[in-house]
Amino acid sequence: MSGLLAGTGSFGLFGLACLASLRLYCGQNYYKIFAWVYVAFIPVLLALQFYLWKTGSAFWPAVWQEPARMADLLIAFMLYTLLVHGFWNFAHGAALTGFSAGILVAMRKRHPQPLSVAEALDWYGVQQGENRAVLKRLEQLTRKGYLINTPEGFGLTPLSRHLTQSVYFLKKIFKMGVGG
Amino acid sequence: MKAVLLAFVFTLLWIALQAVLFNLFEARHRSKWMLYSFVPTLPLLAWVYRVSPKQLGCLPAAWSQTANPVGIFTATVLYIVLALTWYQVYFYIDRPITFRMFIEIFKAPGQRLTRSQLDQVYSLEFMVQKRFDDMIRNGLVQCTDGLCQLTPKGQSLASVFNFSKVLFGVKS
Repeated sequence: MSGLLAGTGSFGLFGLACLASLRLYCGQNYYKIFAWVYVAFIPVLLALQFYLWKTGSAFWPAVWQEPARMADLLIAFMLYTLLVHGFWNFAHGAALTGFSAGILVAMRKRHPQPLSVAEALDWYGVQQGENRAVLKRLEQLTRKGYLINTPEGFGLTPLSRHLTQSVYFLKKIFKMGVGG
Repeated sequence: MKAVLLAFVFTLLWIALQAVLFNLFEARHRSKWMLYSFVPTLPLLAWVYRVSPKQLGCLPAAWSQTANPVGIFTATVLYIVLALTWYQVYFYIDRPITFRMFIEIFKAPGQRLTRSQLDQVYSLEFMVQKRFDDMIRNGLVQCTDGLCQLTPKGQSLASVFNFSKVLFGVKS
């Protein structure tokens, strides 16, 4: 029981800290904020779990408590990490970089005026003859060592080749589409 | 600890079930298939927790003495969170633009693609149109003569996204 409470409580504090930090942060690497706040709250999680595990039986019946502290700590840590991952994912898709989310929000703003696909294409640079979404990724992936730029074109590095093979394998197992 | 193990085992079995279902049937609305295959496993998890041995044949005695209701509650919470994590991972694999680019390069002759070749195999038009098609299929948007409007469902979701952007302090 104390593990569940410690995990959820730490996640709540993590969420508040992230929202506050993002308001102060001006860059684009949001994931760094999440990662740092996640790490910063691990000691809070440990302290909260320790406190609740020691004093929990004053609040709830003793049989509600995990008898082994390590098992309780594992539950707390697992819950905290998985909730943080969910928060991160939601923030990423719904607010920070989501492609479809961006289109939906833009359509909401101009409601009831309709939006054409041609206009949406314009936002991503089709009139300038460039695909900004791909262009931005090509630059980033080359800089981070996932792609190499040769005279014959862009190629995969050993790391991105392994990654691609794994993704390809999983796509086959779950019969997924081409994606993108 | 029994709760953690059972939550993991059930998550793995649920993932395996999806692989079978998606190969057997033409599942277009994958999220719905995931949800419908997940819900019936919740009471099953509670039942398995109740009838299975306390130590599951492998746990130390001191690690397996939690009362049944709390154990079932813990297992259910962890199972739901693990399932949601898998749901997100599934779409990490299925959707990203980056993986699509990697796969196109991987499949290309000599595993090399120039920018213009990449534009041909994975164009911006395809990228945007695919998203509109998905939104239409999911009932978020309706289009007439090339002009698209949000449906009430799309309005609600757009409001959630807009609120998230405000919450995170992101300019929309």
